[in-house]
Amino acid sequence: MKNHIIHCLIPLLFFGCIGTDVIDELMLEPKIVVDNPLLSLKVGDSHQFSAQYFDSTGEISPEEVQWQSSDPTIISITSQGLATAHKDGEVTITVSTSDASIDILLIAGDNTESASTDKIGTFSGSSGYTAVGTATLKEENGKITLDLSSDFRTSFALGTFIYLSNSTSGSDTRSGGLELGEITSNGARSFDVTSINAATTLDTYQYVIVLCKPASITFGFAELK
Amino acid sequence: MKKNILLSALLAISVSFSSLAGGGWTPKKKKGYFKFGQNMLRSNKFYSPSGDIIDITTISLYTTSIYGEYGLTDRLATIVYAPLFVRNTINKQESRQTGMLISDGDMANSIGDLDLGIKYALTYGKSIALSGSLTLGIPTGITNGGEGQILQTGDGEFNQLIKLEASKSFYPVPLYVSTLVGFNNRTKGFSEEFHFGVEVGYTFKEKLTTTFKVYNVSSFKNGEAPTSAGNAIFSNDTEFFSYGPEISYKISDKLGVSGSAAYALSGKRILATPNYNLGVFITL
Repeated sequence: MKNHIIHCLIPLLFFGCIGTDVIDELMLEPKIVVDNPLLSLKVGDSHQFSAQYFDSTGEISPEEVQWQSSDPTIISITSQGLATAHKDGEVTITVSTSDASIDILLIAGDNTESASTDKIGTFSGSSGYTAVGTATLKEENGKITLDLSSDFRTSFALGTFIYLSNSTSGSDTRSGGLELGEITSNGARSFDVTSINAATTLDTYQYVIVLCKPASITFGFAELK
Repeated sequence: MKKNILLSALLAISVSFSSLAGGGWTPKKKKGYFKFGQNMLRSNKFYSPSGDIIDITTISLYTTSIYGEYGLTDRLATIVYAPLFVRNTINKQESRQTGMLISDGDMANSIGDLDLGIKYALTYGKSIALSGSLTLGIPTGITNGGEGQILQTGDGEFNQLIKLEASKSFYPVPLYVSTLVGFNNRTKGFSEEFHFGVEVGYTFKEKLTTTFKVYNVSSFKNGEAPTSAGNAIFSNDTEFFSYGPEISYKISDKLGVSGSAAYALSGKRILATPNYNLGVFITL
């Protein structure tokens, strides 16, 4: 340490040392994500919902969730998330914790139909930089991948990376996002998210970010919906 | 081809202060002006391509240089700007909450891009001194420095800056005004640039001179933007309008010291931070 200080002080007369930027890590709104949503449930059938709670750091937390139906005579649901359709109609299923909740519209009818869990976002440039095309985050056979469309196009710098993030801020993305890999050309590209971080789900991150990593500048982003 | 115009623009700012040193005047034969200077830029703010100021990882550029104008004849002078040592750093990042390292810093050290030029007095002994100059920007700096090979001490291209400078002294009032216009022809697909500068100086008791300078660089946006370098931070078409004061003090007839600061009031693809310079100069 002493040597380091001396090493720095002498050249500081003319040349500066590498400094340190202290970054505030991103604090998020807690959220609930239903893993296996439905569009409709066949009358007479049941479906076991499951959900995960993400705390303010974006991490999955073992918080107990509450399940509630707006009309139990159409679709009832237990405290464990087991839903049963009794007659034709439409209800809102509310999933909640002490500081987060989510509403799911669910139809009771002739068949059971799963809702697509793919997350799709359209890129837009940031601060005058270019980013166009779409990003699709999907899960197949337990593996999550992020696909950039063939018309994907962006600004480039030395060190342009694709990140998943819960913020469009460059520094927040750098500190709290998931780095998927460097890109050096436009066009289609696929990233194996699970191999980079097996704990990542389709709902862990809200944005796909094109980041100039060295300078922490966001060139563009796509909000996953 | 990925070039760091950001740094070249920063260097351009550094040069710009010296480049008005003689203004429209050229030193007489075997006379000259030489300055040993230290320049410092350090910023975590950046003018984006849209002109907005955005946060970035702190980037620093320290330049130790020699600038000189020397008269070959009463009308013809040589100009040298030699950034003998350029240090480019990027900060490491740590989490405030956990103290954990987010990313390592990096640095690159080398000689910078050398400028060699000649200046010719188009008028001599007139009330308005008019001169023309040609400065060649030699890409002696590096373009892939540091462990990450992303830091640069030069732009990697050979450019030719043609300038027309005019100066007027209001003697016996110790006041002068200098202006310049310039055209910078650049290579390797970089856009050409238009330069414009104004400098007003006033000398107190023949020793202390205060100067106020403005300098503008506009891009013609006619460069071929490589698909791999695009329209981004390390790319083409850097622009800025800077202003700032300079104070110089003559310790003796031949020796003096100076200090200056400048800030880009507006810009695109350039650091948004004051640029400080300290120097020691001698006159022959």
